[in-house]
Amino acid sequence: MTRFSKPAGVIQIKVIQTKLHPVLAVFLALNLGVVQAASPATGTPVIGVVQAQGSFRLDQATVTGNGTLFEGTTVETGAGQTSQELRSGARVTLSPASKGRFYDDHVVLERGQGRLERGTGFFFEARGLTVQPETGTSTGRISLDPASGVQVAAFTGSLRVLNAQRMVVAKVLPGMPLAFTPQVSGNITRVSGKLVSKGGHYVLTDETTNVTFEATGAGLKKQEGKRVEVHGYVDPTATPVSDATQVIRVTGVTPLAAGAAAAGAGGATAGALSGLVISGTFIAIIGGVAAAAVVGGLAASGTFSGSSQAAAGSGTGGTGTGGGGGTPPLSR
Amino acid sequence: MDASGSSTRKFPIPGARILAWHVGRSALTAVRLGLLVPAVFCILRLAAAEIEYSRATPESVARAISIGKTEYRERLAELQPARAGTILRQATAADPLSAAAWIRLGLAEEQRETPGKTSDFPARRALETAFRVDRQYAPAWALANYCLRHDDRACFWRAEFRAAVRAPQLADPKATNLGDLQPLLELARRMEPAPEALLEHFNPSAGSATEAPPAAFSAQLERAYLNDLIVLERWDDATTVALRIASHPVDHNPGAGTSDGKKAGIGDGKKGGKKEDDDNARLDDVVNRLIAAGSARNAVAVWNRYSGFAPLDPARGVLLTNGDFATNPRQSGFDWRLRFNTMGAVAGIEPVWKPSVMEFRFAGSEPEQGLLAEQWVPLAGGSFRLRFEYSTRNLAGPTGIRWEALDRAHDRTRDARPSVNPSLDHARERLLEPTPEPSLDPSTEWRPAQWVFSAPGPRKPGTGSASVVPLRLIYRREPGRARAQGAFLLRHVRLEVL
Repeated sequence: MTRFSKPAGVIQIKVIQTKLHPVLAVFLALNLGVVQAASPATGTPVIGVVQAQGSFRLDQATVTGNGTLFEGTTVETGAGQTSQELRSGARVTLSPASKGRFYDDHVVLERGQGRLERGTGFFFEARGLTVQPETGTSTGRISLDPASGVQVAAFTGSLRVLNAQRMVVAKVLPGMPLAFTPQVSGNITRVSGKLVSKGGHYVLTDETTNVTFEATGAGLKKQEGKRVEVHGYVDPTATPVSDATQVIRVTGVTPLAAGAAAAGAGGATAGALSGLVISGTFIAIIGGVAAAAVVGGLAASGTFSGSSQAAAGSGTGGTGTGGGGGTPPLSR
Repeated sequence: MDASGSSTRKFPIPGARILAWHVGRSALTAVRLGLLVPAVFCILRLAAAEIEYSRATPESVARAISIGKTEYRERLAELQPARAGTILRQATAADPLSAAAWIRLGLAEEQRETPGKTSDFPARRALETAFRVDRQYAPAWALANYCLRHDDRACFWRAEFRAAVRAPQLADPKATNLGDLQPLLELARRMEPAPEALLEHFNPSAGSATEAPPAAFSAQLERAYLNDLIVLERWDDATTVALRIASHPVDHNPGAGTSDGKKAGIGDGKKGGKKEDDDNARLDDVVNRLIAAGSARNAVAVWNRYSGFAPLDPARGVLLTNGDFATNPRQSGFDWRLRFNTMGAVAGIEPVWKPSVMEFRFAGSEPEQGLLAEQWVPLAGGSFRLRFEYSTRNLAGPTGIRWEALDRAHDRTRDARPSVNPSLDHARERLLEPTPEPSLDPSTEWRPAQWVFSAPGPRKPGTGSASVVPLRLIYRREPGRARAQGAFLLRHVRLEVL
């Protein structure tokens, strides 16, 4: 009989080899070993390792070189960056002047920016938004800017952004970084795109956020096949048709010129994002979160200063250069 | 033969001297160039490497590595985590004395290995090699973290001890930056939450001790650990460590034996350090914090161990400290407090201690009301009688001076820390006796007096349910009277359970 014991608070398991297939016994033993390693003798479980070239702050104490991450550990970077290897397999890099609180399956970004790799089942939280990779190969960067909110860029694969009610508010693709600002107006939604009919349902994919909606309400039939701006409310209780992730109850539809974005239609909500987006970029509002494209900044250079980017693009945004794929340079 | 004749023989052909000079000069130039060109080449290569390195892409750093610097490989491993193990093995092969490279290799290997019995795994070997090549804090710290993550206690305590021995704060008895040890202590706490057991692992004669620590080691470690526990507000554990510190004999010459590198020997059986004079201030602070945290029993236990006063014993009715004013009040813990702000006592009221007598001098410019003296007393529920003797000098009656006791337990939102600058704001602090006694009459002779009050709670003194009650001597100007001008003298203060 092989016995693996856990300290207080951890389940104790006995593997009786005589009753198990040897391969299964070894498998169980290895898995138990992982659990055991993840929980030192006492206290909070170990969730990973943090490394840096120089010093950083670990739970408000200065540490040099490396340290151990426990559930809820806060990492704060100074002049250098830190790399967090988590037991879950995810790898998070915190840029200089950043701060994040780490948990087994997510990190709460409190300041600066972080990069996520191998993040299957792992997600970022920032200002009430959740950013999670759609696949394990997705990599991306999440930045906090005091003035403009949360910026998300995907390098490979795509990232999903959800609001506090776990509603999908954007799908961020490589080369199309987006900036998000939670609004006070709750569930108000305003999206734009081509309205198409599928099996008797009207479907629209927002040009800014790449989120597909099923639109219900009056006045949609005559706009079928056209680019429109739709106002309404997302109904979290309704089940959308396939391809769509949510249902929008339409309160108004405005036709848009074909091939051109609804210039500056953001109104008051645009204010918060105006420093980030080029003029003419549509600001989508989904589930109380305003989203707009970031051009030429985050994805292109691998860093984001938080200042206004040059208004060099046009159309529906997402035209940042060189944002997708590859490994962007990290700051030293 | 003169010198010129000699020269003529050496260079018989005219102009040969000039030719030789030119040849020599050319040879020298060639040698110089021979040295300069490689130097310039090296400089240019290094500059190019730095430029490539600064681009911080895997390709550019790889090009920089071809010029050769171990730390470039570490950077490349950072940029290419999938190949980190291979790159760092190359780095350690290229520079086997680079502890940083060994540490990084260890951490990279750790990501690949299956946890379990760690002794056979390359990560641990790499981290142990790092410590072998550089017996400093960083490799020991990295290994301690690794062993903690793998729940290898023996490995952990050995590495933790090595790291602690190398922490400069634990070598210097006067070091004040003990908070910097918090990460090291946090690892230890996570491995061993019981304070006594934790400290035993750092005992120079313990099994985890592999080398002799500095002389100040044990005492400094206890102080750092106490600080750590106070920050965490782990009062029971802080009490345990404070009692340990309080038990040490006082070392009046703490610096001795450290400047000359004197070490505490392994196996000398010395479990703890010596207490220094300023440890009393540290323990005063602990008692104050324990009182503030409502942990009366712990506060009394620590106070009794180090204060030098007759031990308080609420169960036996020993409640008051320094009631005879035999020593100058220390303004802290359970002793009298006379100064309530950074400027000292209440303006216009000067407390003067004389052996066995406390005198309060009123200048006539004092505020309408003010606190003269305060002592925090551990009380369970019940009735109490305060006996004392007093006399006055030049004070008109009634004096406006009286005793009061406050029930602070009713207002948990208030910071119950012993008053630094207390007010007499009774709107927030409920008096135990809502109807205060009339103020004391003047008396030029020593006059015995008493004051009876009751405290809420079970009438079973000293059962751990005791709370700490501020007992105050206050002045409040009587209506229609001028401000006091004169002196109030106090002695033989006793507190009895009724």
